[in-house]
Amino acid sequence: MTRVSTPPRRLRFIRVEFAPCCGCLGSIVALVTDFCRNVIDDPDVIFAFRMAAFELTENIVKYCSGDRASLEISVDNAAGGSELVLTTVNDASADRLLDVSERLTATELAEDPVAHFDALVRDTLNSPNESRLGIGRLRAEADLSISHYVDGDQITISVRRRILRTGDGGN
Amino acid sequence: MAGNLEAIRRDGYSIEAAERSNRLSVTLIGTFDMTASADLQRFLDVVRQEIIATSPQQLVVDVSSVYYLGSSCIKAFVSLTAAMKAYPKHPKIRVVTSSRLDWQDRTFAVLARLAPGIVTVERAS
Repeated sequence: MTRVSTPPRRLRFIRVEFAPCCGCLGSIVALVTDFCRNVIDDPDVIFAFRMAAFELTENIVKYCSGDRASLEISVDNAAGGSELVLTTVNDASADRLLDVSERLTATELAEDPVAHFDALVRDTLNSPNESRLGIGRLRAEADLSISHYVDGDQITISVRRRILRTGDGGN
Repeated sequence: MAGNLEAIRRDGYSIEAAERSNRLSVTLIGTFDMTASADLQRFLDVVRQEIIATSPQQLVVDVSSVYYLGSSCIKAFVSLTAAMKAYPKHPKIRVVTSSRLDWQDRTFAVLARLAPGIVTVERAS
């Protein structure tokens, strides 16, 4: 019997390093959106990652303590299927890292993401200078899984979603 | 233009209002990321003042041509909704969304949950 092997799927990712500023926001969101359109034809998923690109990049622009940050959008192929994954890496102050890490953990562990987001919405009225809603809406509205880790003064945040239909992306 | 509500037109987004027959209408067009939040917050503050001054029965917020609304802009709507909830003569607030942009219903549903009986979210006909 002839054994037919399936060629390994090509890696699909884009990684950018950038100096955080408002002016870079549109370019980064466009990059992420174009990548998603190239690998999937589900407008709901594309919008979810567009939202994630906006929210995570805006947080970097507002809170990054260093002069550079990075963002990667990729398709991760695993035995159980494919996932779209968006990952950001940036430095921040110790106070900010503690605060955002607590909020991320609460969002990641929330049993009811919508109820958790509604609580954040009520709390936002007590935060005059910031919304503190961006992370929460990624689970509640965009149905994205979130994970993070802190290493020294650097935080890595990943959001992901299983995808069912991938385009050929030119591969 | 309604009362003191002067339209805002920028590269990427616009906000304008009209007042007619006891109804105040606010229309947003474009992309509302962090760069739009200060304008939107200021505009909705004036909307709140206008409502208190003129007591319209209905506030219609047409977002059907909004392509993105960031969290800082959601906060501006949350602040207006909370203020209206606390105002005894508050108008009914009707948010009009697009049937082509499903995310709008999910995003604005939070206002209806915050102020049930005051805010409704409806798709444009």
